[in-house]
Amino acid sequence: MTTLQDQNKAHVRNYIEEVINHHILGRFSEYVPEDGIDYSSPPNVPRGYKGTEMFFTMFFEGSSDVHNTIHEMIAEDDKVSIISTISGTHDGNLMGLPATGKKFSALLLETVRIADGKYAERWGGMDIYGMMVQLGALQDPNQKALAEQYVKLVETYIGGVNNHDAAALRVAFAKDFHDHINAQVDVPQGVEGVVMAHGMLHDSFNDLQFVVDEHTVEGDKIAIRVHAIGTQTGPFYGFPASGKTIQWTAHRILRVENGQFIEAWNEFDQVGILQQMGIIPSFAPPPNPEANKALVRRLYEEENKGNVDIVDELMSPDFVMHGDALNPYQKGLEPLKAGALMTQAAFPDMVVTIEDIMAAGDRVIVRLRWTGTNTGSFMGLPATNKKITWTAMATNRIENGKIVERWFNSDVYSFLQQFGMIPS
Amino acid sequence: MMSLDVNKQVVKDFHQAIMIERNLNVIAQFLRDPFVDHSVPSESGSIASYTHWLQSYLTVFPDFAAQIEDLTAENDLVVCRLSLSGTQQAEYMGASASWKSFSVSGLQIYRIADGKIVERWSWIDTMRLRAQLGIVN
Repeated sequence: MTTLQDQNKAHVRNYIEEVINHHILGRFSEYVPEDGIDYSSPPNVPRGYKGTEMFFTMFFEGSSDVHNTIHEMIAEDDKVSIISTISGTHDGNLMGLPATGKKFSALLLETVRIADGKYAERWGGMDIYGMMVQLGALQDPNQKALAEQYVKLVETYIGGVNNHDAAALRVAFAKDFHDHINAQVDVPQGVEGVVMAHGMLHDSFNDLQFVVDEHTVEGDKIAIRVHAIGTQTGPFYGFPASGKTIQWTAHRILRVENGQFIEAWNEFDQVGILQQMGIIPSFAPPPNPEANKALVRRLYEEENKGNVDIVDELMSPDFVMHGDALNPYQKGLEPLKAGALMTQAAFPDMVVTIEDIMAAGDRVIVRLRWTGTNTGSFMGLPATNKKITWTAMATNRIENGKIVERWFNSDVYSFLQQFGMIPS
Repeated sequence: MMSLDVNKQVVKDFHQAIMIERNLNVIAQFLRDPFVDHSVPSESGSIASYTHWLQSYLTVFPDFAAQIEDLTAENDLVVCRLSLSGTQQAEYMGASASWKSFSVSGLQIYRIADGKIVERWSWIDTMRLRAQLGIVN
């Protein structure tokens, strides 16, 4: 037996799928009576189907591919409530807004009272404000809050992976999530595919941990750069457990719709994983820690000779310095040379001694001591004529025979004390 | 009571405790942590962030009032239609306190499981609200 509620839902479904989604303006009067009331329509819009037609004429003109996707329908007595999404491309003039070519997607919540098979009354509506923000017509003062929300959503997702918590994944990912995945795994789309894929990953690496190294939010998307580490305790891509600790990097761009991830793009270092498992040989030449040590030794020897330009030979032009208060983050070689010239002027007899050196893989770690007499002005301070000494440690990363990156900490505190800038 | 009535009662009790009595300490009795939140903007699906959002909202509209106009339910979903009003007494949507009042309608839909809200959708007539408060940007 068909209930009134079933009939009413069928009416709503037909209206949305046969009329709205096919953009048939002439059929609105079949579903909306002449005296129908829409409580959300602006005061200057006529009642009934004429007002509905007016709205959709304007909407179809602004977007040639408007589509309404029904998620849920709730019927009681003569009312039906609908949760749906209106999406489309802004390829025409929309509410006075010239075409931007942008895509939009807005939540639509509505309750309709059906009488004689027609929409007698309607409450609720679509998130026009959210759509205008997506089209760039309104500024979003909540962008910061929204960005925080996206970061929280990522935390829920990563927590779900790290704690092997499917419920958390089901909170973060929409039921009809679409994964633009290029991995060689066969999992279904939707949140259950996400749960399944991470279940498989957990079977391969049962202590798997994802760490988010960086995230960037713009519009409705969040990009994350992550690294993963885990012990291969189960088969991966059909290759048996190696028991090895495997690390890999990945990028993901996730798009948020109605508070959940609706689609995502993914790149991860699959071949790197297989190389570490010993399945595919490594492409990179094997690291040579002794040659790397010699390179770093030579750098400081030349510096002691006052050869500032040696950095051009031994360091990459893309060198990155992750320094401390005295040597902040720097890129390229020019800041290094400028710093060395400034130090030479202030301490003409400066000598740097390598007190310890260690190397493994592509890293060379040095423990250093500088000693010199401050006979020139330094950072605007007059010469103290004192003999000054301070220590530092640095991790250097070497790639293709050049230093490409350095992490550096020095005893800035005692250095400034000897200068009298901090009381002893 | 039928389960639909039980679910409606959860929404009524939640509304009474939070919106009428402003007893934010009992949110955890009504919401699963975390829950799925489809509302826009800036709420996210944990009790902590929901509470934070509500607090800041009530700071902007200290006289905020919400009245249930209609309640319908089917399966595990409850639909709640509301009349909302309030006076803007602090910065909101980038606009400084206008001391203007709004009166608009809203629609909230909740999914209930084991007596708790596990998912929520919310719509407010934001365009009308902005017009009434005179917010343009």
